[in-house]
Amino acid sequence: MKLKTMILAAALGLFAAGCSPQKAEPVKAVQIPDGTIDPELWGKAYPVEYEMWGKTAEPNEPGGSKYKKGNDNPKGNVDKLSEYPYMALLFNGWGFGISYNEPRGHAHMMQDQLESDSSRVKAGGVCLTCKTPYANQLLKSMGAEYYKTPYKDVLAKIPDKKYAGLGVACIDCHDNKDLSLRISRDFTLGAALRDMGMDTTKIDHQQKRSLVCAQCHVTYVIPKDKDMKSVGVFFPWKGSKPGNITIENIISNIKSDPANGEWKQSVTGFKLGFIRHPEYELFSNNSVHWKAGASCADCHMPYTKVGAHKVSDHRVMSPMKNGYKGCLQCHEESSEWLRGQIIAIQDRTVSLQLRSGYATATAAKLFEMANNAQAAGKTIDKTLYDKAKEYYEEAFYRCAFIGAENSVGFHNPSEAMRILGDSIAYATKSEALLRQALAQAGVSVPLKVDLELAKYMNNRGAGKLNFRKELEITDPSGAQNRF
Amino acid sequence: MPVFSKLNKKRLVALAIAVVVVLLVTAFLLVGPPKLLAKSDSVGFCAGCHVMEGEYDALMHSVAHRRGKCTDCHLPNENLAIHYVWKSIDGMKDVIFFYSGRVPERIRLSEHGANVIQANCIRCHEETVSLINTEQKCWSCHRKINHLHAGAIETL
Repeated sequence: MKLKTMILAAALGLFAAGCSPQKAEPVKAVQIPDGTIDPELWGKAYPVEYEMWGKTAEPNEPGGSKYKKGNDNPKGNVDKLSEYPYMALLFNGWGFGISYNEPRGHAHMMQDQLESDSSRVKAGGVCLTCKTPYANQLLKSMGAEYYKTPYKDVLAKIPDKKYAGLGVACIDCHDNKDLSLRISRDFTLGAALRDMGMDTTKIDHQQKRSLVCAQCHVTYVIPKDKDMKSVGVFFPWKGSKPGNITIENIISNIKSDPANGEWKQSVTGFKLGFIRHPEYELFSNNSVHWKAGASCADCHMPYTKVGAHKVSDHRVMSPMKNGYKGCLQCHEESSEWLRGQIIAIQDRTVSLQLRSGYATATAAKLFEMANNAQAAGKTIDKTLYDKAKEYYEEAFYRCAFIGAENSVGFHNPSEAMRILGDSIAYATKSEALLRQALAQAGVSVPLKVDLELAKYMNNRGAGKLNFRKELEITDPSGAQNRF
Repeated sequence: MPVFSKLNKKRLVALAIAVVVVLLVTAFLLVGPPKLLAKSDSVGFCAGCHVMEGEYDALMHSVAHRRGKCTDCHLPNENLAIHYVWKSIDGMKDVIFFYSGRVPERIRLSEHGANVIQANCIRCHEETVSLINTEQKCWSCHRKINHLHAGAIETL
């Protein structure tokens, strides 16, 4: 009896001493019902983040970035084909060869789709997957028809017309109950992560700070049926591992199925796949900042003091345009020093980017020559041609990979250079084999192949777009002039 | 359960008195003039073991958090009972490791230690971090907090 009393007394004593003061909880202003897309309602609960998110509609201070000026001007319209003229040749045959602009702030994403030449959204409703917060709803209600139904028709199905032009919003990244991060695009990103063997029920917060961005800032494939109608959308990550999604695996994924040939390159006549903005793939492939544990949000949504609180800056933008806030927390060097480092990396990347692009474009032009010679009755050696085509595709996908990636190499400098280096190796080998095949067929090839860029650059699409010389990016090292 | 005979009751009383005397002496030592409890919480006490010299120097040469005690960060401070439970556990662990010579070349934080420190960061800076997720360790960005990144043994 006495022992029991003593134990009870001790337990009570421990409990009494064990209690800590109650944690202060902020007052919840508003409950956000499930499935709310309206960002204004979310904004009532989280006004600070809402206001920052809205600011992505505004242009930034011009001159912050050397190579990414898409958001410097409120009207945008920085024509990427004028920046990198070889792209006009390589992408001639579909929308990317007509209208391809540098990106603006997140708020503009739907508008940019509507303002670009309509050939860019020819794939259909599937193009809405990464743009409208209604994507999941639309897919659920339309099923397989969502992918192939014409873009404008699927857009018209958005229930609240006020939000037809709404780009990425709160619901795309957050859970409405506790604002924790949540992957909304399970049918694309979730599936791709599971393809790589990841358990998508056990993803920690820091991983999600990159993965919510990886819902859209990735490359994807829109496979087509035999009538060239879109039947789906997936990320070509099978065979890759988390933290090691390689261009080699992506290419073998694309080449594994003829359905992944989304378009016909007019210059070569080849059916090819394509690579879009692979920021997550490049960054997460053992880059130094990835290995240091930095997530996308650590640099692009750095913590900012608003009043007494730290909040993630929801005005997603390049750190070069907001005073290098995302850098300065860990790096104590000055902004000028950091800018110098970034530009050095980007200059070198651009240099090899141009080398790769023009080498690939040259090979493409030689294919045109070979195809014409064949049509005119000459015999082109099949072995040489097929090998050249194999190398050409390797070169093309690598060139497109870094060309589409929006950091100009900064996300993973050495990997970017490796990929471009390989692209150049494949492209020049392809050119060599083609020259040999053409010589054997008695076709004379000039020292410098005329790319006829003006043909591809001018009078593009419904808007009759033309080359804008002032936008062209030249090789900072000057070496490209020798080729 | 011992049988309560007359002999044992006397013994029990004597035992009870002895226990009370011991408790009083302990209380005197801990919170009386010798102040052993406070002293063992002090920076000088922790730094008394020479293997802690680098960390002590780093703390004294850093700008922030220099005025605190080691235990303000390295022991749980949510409530008194837990604080002293872990003080005992960690203290004994330190004694054993130190006197047996099992101190590693680079003394690294354990996972439990990291959780304790994270909770203490939040305890003092609660308002500031009330709107962000605090799963990620604070010092993954605020790297100067780490003893090895500050003061005399700063490596950055």
